[in-house]
Formats: sequence, C-alpha cells, structure tokens
Amino acid sequence: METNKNKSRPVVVKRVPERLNRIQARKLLSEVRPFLESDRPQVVFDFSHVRQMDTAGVEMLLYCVSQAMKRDGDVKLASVSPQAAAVLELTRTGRLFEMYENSTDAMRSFSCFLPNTLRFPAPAGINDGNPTEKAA
Amino acid sequence: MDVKAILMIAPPVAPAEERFAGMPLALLDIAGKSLLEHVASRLRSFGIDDIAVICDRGFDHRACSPSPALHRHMAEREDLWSTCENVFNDFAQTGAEVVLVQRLGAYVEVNYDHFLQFHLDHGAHVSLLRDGEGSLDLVAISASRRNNAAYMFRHQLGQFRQPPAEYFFNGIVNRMRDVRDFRKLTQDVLLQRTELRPAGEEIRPGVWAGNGTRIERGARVVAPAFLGAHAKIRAAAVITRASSIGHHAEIDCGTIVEASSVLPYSYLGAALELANSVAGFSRLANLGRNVEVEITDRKLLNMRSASPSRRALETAALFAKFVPVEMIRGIFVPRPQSLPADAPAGIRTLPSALQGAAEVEKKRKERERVQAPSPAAFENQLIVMRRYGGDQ
Repeated sequence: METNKNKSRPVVVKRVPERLNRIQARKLLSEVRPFLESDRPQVVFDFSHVRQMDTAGVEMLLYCVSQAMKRDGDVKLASVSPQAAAVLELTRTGRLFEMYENSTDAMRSFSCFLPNTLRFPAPAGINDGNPTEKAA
Repeated sequence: MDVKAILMIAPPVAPAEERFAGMPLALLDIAGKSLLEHVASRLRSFGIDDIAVICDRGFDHRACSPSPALHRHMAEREDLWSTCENVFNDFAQTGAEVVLVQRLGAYVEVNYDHFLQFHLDHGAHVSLLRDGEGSLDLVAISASRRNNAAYMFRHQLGQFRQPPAEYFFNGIVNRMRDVRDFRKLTQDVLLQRTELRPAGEEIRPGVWAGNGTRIERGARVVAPAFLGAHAKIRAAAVITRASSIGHHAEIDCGTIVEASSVLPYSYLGAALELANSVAGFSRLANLGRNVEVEITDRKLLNMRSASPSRRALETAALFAKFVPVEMIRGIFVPRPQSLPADAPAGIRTLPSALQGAAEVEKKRKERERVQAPSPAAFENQLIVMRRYGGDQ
C-alpha cells in the first residue's frame, strides 16, 4: 500500500538555468519552495544545461535537500553536466545527492530502485597516472 | 665548440591545445619552475649558457616565474618565427657554430651532448630529434646554414630544405599536449622519475618547500608534495598524492588537495576538495571528467595579484569589510541562552556509577602522600619521574 502511495505522489522536475548564480538560485528556490513545503516532497533538478555554478547554487541545493528531508522527501539530480559535477565535487556536495543519467530515471527512482542508472562521480585519481592506481 | 640555444613558445602546427586558461603549458609552474626554466636549467647543465627565449607578447606573465638569466624576446604571434630567424642570424654573427632550436612543446629528456655529437658525426646541416610518434620539435642546425634555417623557420619546424639527419630518441618524453600531460609531468618530477627536481628545500622526505612557505598548525602535507615559495597552507588543510602548490598560492582551512596542481597566486577556498585537477587563473580543469570550468565565485577559487602592495591592500580591504560585519552581528544577532545557574555544580557532581572509582582514587592519593619520605623536599613532578623512571 505504501508503495502505491509513493507512486501516486507527484514528482516535480525542475530545469536548472545555464548559470546558477545567486540571482538564479534565489529565483529557482522561490519557484520550488511551494513543492518543498508539501508533505514528502519529491524533486528532481535537471542539470543538463548548467555550465556555471557558484556557492549560492550549492547552498540552494543544500537548503532544498534539508527542507525535503525534514518532510521525509528527497531531492535528486539528473543529467548533471561535467561542469556542474566538477563544482559539486569541489564543494564536496556531490556525494549528498543521488544522480541519474536523465530526468526519467530520476523520476522512476522515487518508486523503485534502479541500480544501473545511478551515476557516481569519477573517483579521484582515475587516469591520473598514479602508480598505485595503475597497480590496482 | 660554441653552441647556443633558442627556446620557442609557439602554438603547435598540429591541432593540439598545449594551453590552460589561455596560457601555454610551458609557462605554468611545475614544482616551482616552469617547463621553460626546467629546460633552460638542463641546457645550462650541458654547458649551453647562451639561451634565447621567444615568446608571444600576449601571454599574461603574472603566474610565470621570472628568470632574469634568460634573454627574452617578446613578439606578436604572427612574428614569432621571423623573430626566431633574426635571433638565429644574431647567434651566427656572434660566432655560434651550432644552434639548438626547441619548441616547447614537449619535454624531452635527451642528452644534448649525444645529440650534438650525432649532428657533428653525420656532418648534417640539420638534425632532427624524433621518437616513434614523430618529430619532437628539437633541431640542431649548423649556424652557417642560414638558408636552411630560414626555410625551416618559415615552415615552423615542419619542413626542411634538405632531409634532416634523424636522431631517434627512446627516452623519457612528455608531449605536453594538454593539462593531463602537465599533471603527469608534475607527478613524475615529484616521484623523481625524471631528471627534473622540485625548486625548493626538502623539508621532509618527499616534501619540498620554497622560501617563506607557511604551514599552519593542524595542516597535513603527505609526501610527495611541493609547496611553492610564500604559499600558505591554512589549518586543517591536507595536501596529498603528488600535489603541487604554486608560489604565493593559498589553501584555506580544511581544504583537501589531492593529486592536483594549484597554480601560483591562486586562492582555494575553505572546506573544498580538489581532486585530480589543475586550478588557477579562476579556472578548474578536472582530469577525471575531462572538463575545464570557469569559476567565478571568489569564495571557491580566486586569482590574487602578483604585486605585493596590491595583495596587502586586498587583505586590508577584506579585514575592513569583515570587522564591521562581525560587530553588527555581535550587537544585533541574539546570543545563545546562557547555561542554568546550577549547571557548574551539576557538572562537578560525579554520576553515581563513577562515585566508587572516585573514592578509590582519593584514597590512593592519600596513601601516597602519607608514604612519601619527605614530600616537602621534592617537587611533585620529580617524584613522578622517579616513580615511572623504570630504574628502581
């Protein structure tokens, strides 16, 4: 029964603009806030267009996930561009989110576990010519 | 024999980047010195002291280490090769017998003596260094062969008037095509796989530091690592896995730099994790993701001024901005509620589970005081030392 309830609950997909700076983050947050304040919010941010991101964007994401988790919901990321992924990795926030190849997979992941669609950040040291990595 | 050298920093003929943030990789800091300076040092170690450097005027030289010993010829990008030809003619007129021309480009750990000997033995006008992949952009040319030189420079070392003698090299080569090659060379230098050595003092095995490097308490530097002159490593920062921090760079509190290069005058913000990357000029190249990102947020990555006075002014401005904000915060932001009045007493009271142990400890101290022969004659610390000294 609980699964059915989860399936019927709406998932909000929001496309993030190309530049996620303070102004854009504030605008995006104001748009998403009503959904975050609902019961068990399920939000997907589509990062496919993001080319530039700063700390305001990262703070917005952290605020969203904290609000969602307070209400037993979750925030997931989809189509994360390499530029956005680099910033998320730099700020150590990438590991806090589930990342998916596309928005559809991210939406479906709220109702069932999709083991092969999760995207993990590239581990540090890969292809960096480090002898220990090569030996491994 | 009079041998002189020309080092060129010019765009490659083949489509390759050889750039990071618009700067040639040959000018970026590799463990304290640019590739240009490393190569010049190697040439000097082979007795070639007269070295001319020809470089594009448009490059921003803030992050490049100054090297007064090198004769720099700055030229417009279109005039680079004609400048090279003029310098070659000047060398020929001043009595040079052979001129080595190297485009950086690739780092080649060639023995210049062997290469020159090869050139002389073959009686060639032009000798070209190459490996399995092709030309390595290093040429030895007899100074009397001006026409050959002019033809070669006009074709940007790509074509020759007569077929050159080819010296096949199978030693250490790094073609420095992209940032990945740049990082690879930095790692090779720190792991001492090449003849190049970090430009600094080895303060611990595998950790080199330049003059005036500041490592704050709580920061951790794991070998191999290089810290440039006047670099600042703030508290709780970690530098690990063959990372290189350029001169005057600053790594803020709690940031981890792992298998990465931070270029000179860069500021890396607090509590970040830079892994497998090259950061500088407000840009970040992530090698794992093969992407270069512009970072506009100064809290994350910033480029500091090369001028000391300007840096001091910037620091003063930051301080002047910080103090009023903290004052306002101190006045208007409500303070956390103070502890209840009976809290200290509550803290001092031992929980019932520990009261038995406290009694035992109290009795033991009392017994020791009674048994001591003349407690007034000795300091407490001395008694403790004798008791745990292990001799009695």
